[in-house]
Amino acid sequence: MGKSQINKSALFLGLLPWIAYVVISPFFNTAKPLILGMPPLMFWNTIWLVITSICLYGAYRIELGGGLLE
Amino acid sequence: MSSAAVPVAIILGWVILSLVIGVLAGIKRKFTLEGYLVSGRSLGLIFLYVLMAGEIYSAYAFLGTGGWAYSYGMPIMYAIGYGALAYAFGYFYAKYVWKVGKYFKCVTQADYFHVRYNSRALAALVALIGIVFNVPYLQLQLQGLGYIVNVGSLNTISIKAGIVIGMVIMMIYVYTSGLRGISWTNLLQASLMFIVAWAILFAVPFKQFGGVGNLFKTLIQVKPDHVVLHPPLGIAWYVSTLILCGLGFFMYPQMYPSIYSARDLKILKKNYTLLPLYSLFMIPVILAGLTVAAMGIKLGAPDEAVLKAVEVSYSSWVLGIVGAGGFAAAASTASAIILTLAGLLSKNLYTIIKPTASDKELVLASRISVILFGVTAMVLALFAPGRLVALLLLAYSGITQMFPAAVLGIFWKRMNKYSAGAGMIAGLITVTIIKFGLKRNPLGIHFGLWGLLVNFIVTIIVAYATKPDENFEKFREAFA
Repeated sequence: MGKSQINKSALFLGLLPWIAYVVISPFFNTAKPLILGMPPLMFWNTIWLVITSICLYGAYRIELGGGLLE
Repeated sequence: MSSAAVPVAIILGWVILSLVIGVLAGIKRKFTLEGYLVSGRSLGLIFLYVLMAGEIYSAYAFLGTGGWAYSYGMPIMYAIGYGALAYAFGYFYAKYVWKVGKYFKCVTQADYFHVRYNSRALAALVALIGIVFNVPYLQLQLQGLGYIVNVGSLNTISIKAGIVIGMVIMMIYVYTSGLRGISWTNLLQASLMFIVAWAILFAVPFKQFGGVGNLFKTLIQVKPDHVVLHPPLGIAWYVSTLILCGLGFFMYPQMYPSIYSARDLKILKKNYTLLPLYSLFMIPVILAGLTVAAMGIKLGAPDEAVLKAVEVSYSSWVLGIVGAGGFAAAASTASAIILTLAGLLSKNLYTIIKPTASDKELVLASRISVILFGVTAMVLALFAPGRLVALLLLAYSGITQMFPAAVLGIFWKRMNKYSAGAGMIAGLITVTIIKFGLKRNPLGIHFGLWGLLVNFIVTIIVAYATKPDENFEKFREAFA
């Protein structure tokens, strides 16, 4: 991968949480069904904290592999 | 032995432990300004992580978050979301800040603006915005600290005594040890906050309702509005607040010294991959607030929700741990803000009067400023609680107005000191007019985001109307 391709892949991963919260999460604004005991919006927002970490770690691995963090 | 002896001992023991650790971290060192304000750019992953987690999550991550959950329910989900958004943004943005900081030896947020725009006046404006909006925030932290310690000690330690003890302890270790002292004490504070949330608060809905599912089943029946976003805190408000807070987060001045303090880029970036996991601790806080709401308990003030949840679920000595946790949450945030403001005052404002000040003199000026801000916040918290509420209401929206200048400046040669300053001022005027003139959010969209819109438009117009910045190439050398 070239340097700009690496940047793009990493940026894409960083953009996913923004899409998940800003664009998608409002569609979960209903009272039911309860997921793991929580209303859908709360479940979605909580699980995405974990997924955000995974996305950023992915970006980190890509940038690290491309030698962008020296 | 009275029933308050154990909780009081826990709180005071914790406060003294913090003092000892904080002072030992730096007492024997001779600090340069870089050593004092940004720990010599030497922090590894663990200290950087606890420094940031501690400073980001304040006493109001407990009081305010729990209170919102109690009063409104699901709208508090904005607080879960914007942290993740801010970290995803910061993962990319912080790299530039760190590189600029290292290349140009920056130690404050205003330094970053100074080297980009080659303007002492703009740096002074940035420093002033940071100070004006953060002093009320400091005051709020102290009031929160006093309140939690008071309840945690079963009213043995008065609110005012809590405020004084808390502030004096912070001033001592920040004075002696600077950012190094804060990162060491925050190792304690961030751990305790985590324990309070997960070991104490998370069990609350299980104790009261037998589980999270039952909590929400009850809540749907007694307070159906609490399980969905609803106007005026509806979807437009929720989405616009997420965007505003996600973008504005890294405009807070205390973010910059902690970014500069990272040893290298790998540590800095790894830190941002891990921060979203820390913010999971707000889930137990929210559940505790919702439990109190579902139980139908009436509170004098919403901020009491989390403490009430502990009170009804545990024997009284547990409140002592929560009291210590309140000190932890407030002190880890307030100490970092005090040091940040002290840096702005000495490095970016004092040097206007005395440009030739030596490094040693600036360390002393920073230390004196620490005392100055500490005493100011303490006096305000003791004698004028609530007096600066107007500034607090504007704080996030006001601070966010630095965004176009901070971010466009990295990539766009046309950005100069005029467009940066004009945009910021236009944004500040807009948010003030909407908040205090119009008094409602147009179209339900957060007023800070309207300010940012006006800000961007003014910034771009002025950027095209004036000459490109001659300083740009020099600034970009930091990334070469």
